[in-house]
Amino acid sequence: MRTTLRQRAAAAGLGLVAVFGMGLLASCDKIITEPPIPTLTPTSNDVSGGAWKTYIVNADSIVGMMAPLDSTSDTYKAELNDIKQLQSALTPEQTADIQYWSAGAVLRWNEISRKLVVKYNVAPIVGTPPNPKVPFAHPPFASRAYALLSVAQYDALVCAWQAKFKYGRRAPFQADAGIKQIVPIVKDLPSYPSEHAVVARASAEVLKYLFPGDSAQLEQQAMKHLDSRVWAGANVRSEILAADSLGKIVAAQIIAYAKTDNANKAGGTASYWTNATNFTDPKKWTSLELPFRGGMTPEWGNVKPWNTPPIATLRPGPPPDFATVEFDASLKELSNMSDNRTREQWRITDFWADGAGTETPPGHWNIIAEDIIRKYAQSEIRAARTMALMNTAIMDGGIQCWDAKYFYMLPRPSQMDPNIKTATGIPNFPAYTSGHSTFSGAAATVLSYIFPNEKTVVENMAIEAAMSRLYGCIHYRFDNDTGVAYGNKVAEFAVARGRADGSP
Amino acid sequence: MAGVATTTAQVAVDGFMRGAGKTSASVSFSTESYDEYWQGTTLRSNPNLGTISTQSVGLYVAGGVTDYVDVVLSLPYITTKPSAGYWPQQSGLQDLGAAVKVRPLELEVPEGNLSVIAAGSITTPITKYVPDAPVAIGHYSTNFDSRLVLQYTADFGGFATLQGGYIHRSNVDLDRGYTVAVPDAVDVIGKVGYYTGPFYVDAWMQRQNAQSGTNLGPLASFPSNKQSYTKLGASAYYGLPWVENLGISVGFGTILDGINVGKATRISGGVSYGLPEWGGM
Repeated sequence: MRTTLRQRAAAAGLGLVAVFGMGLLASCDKIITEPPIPTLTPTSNDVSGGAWKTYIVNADSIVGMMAPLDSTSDTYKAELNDIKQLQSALTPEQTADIQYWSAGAVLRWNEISRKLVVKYNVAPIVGTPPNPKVPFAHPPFASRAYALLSVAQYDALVCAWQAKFKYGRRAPFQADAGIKQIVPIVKDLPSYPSEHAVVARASAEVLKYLFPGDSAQLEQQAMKHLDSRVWAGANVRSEILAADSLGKIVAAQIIAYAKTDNANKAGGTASYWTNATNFTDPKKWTSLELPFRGGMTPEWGNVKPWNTPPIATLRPGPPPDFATVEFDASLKELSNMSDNRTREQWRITDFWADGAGTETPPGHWNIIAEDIIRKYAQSEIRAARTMALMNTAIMDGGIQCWDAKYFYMLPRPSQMDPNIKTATGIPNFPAYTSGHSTFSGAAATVLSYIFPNEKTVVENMAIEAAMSRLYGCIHYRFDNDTGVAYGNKVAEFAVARGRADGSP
Repeated sequence: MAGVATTTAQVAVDGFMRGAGKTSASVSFSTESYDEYWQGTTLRSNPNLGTISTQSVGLYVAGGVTDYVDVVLSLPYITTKPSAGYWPQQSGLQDLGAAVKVRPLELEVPEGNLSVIAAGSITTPITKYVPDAPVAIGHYSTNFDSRLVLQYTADFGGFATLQGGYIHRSNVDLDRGYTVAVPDAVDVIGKVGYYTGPFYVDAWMQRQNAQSGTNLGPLASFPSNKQSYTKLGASAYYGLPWVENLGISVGFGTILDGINVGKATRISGGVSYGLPEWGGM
């Protein structure tokens, strides 16, 4: 959602045209668009990818059940002929679909997931019971959504890669000179099973589980994606169907894992809520919202992490006591900021705010990662690995941060001093440690490991993201410092996994 | 919420020409507040903002270059703040406005005359104020307004004015890192009034219809919201008999109905001074 697309009707106006040299504009179609994303042309095919370590699935056993059609069979030849026929009658819409999906399967489905998070990142009205069809896609929810999606994509692609290099099937345009490449097809990447279709199916199934209200739309998108690869000349139908089955198997295992990761209990127990509304201790966090809203996901700290030992072992020490000089200085710093915030500090606050109705801070880091992945033209499997390492680290960071938040229950600065005015909405959960800082510290650590040349850039982004919370006056400096440090720390476990996953 | 005040910059244009070489400068003070606003078409309030009140000081200069051409300049300084919650007060110079009015046609009609006026104006922000927040002083777009004004002025001093215009608004770059379209709008104002000697009084109704846009809420930025409203108002002016060239004015305006705007009421007062005549061109 970096761009708002809006088609405008041509303006009617009164037809006064440039009467007085004042340039009375006739308003034409006003459309704000991004340039189309070019076809992904990876710098490497990562031929060892089939041996990389998966998160959930057993690639060997799944791939053991698969085999392509005999390339001399009539069925296969008929499939090649089907492509020729389809290509002879492509509609402009089909050509557009081919172009759209060729930008990259992993990245397109990541983009789709971000749009769903944006759509569902709206706090329910206080007092309404949770509706599983309309989840609240807040930052912890989003971090898990991105992690589950990326893990599904990655595990599915490891399986696909194993089968690809096991069977070495040539792409249709190589098997039959009559078949065109409508978009450039990745060179020397065996076509069975389709890497696009496996990502489409695994992604769509995981997203349907997370956003059941959008199932029909997701299925439609998946079908278009699948078809587009046949139209493009990249795959015969059976290569798509094999990938489709593979994607379903992988997604089912990821969803089974998700059902047991404790996220469904993170909203808190009935007794938590009874106590939560009785907070009168000024030393404890309380909601600053009217009407009172219970703190968001009080038990997120109990959600199962991907890469770390038990999260409580990574709990930081307590924040400074209220009576200390250190706490006083932190509060004064914010009081000063509130009175003297510059326009640039406001801009930075807003740039990183990623509040309601956005893709959330984890989603912002997915956008950053997407840009870098494109810059380095990573293959589908390499892109999935990058996203999986980063998104599992981000999710682990969120769990670690939420554990600290509800263990220490530190009030937000404005609760301590109501004269502290904020440049962004005050998140409805305790201050220590900063979620933005933790998410960003985790993301920057993983991206620095994968893209050493980008280390300075992403680390500066993480620092700016953390500082944005201080400029906005919703976090103390120590919330940020501890947040970034623990984000880094948590992400080191993801980095260790990356170093040992068999990828060169 | 926000930007939902009628703080969208606009240069007020009337159906009277100043006359060659005549210039008046006025300073007005206004105060406006609302505690209810329409989110889409639903009227609601927000206890986390309370009442949003806005004070502005406006400088308005209108001068006749010839009997047929007027030039108008306007510049408001605005302060706005909520009564509850933690969003800070915002204040600053908003948008500089400039308008040119021409009267290509004036017809003698029974018991009076009929003027046809065309006007074009531009308003543009001159400070880097924050537009995308629940408490904001403006939208930050540059606006191009073109309109036609028809006025019948009766010999006894009564008059009726009808004006219609189209407001084109530029895109705005948000702090969030992307650009949004700010909706264009169609604006219609009907006015009746009476003047005699130093007295002037009018009553007016305005309908502004945004041509596109988002609804107020977490899924949209503030400047991109579709804001439409019906506003009713009145104003009066009195040229002080004991100070040459000095007059005072009062005004009132209230929003009767709207989309994504505050249910605001505004009162204003001002002083006008007639600058020395220079004869015009």
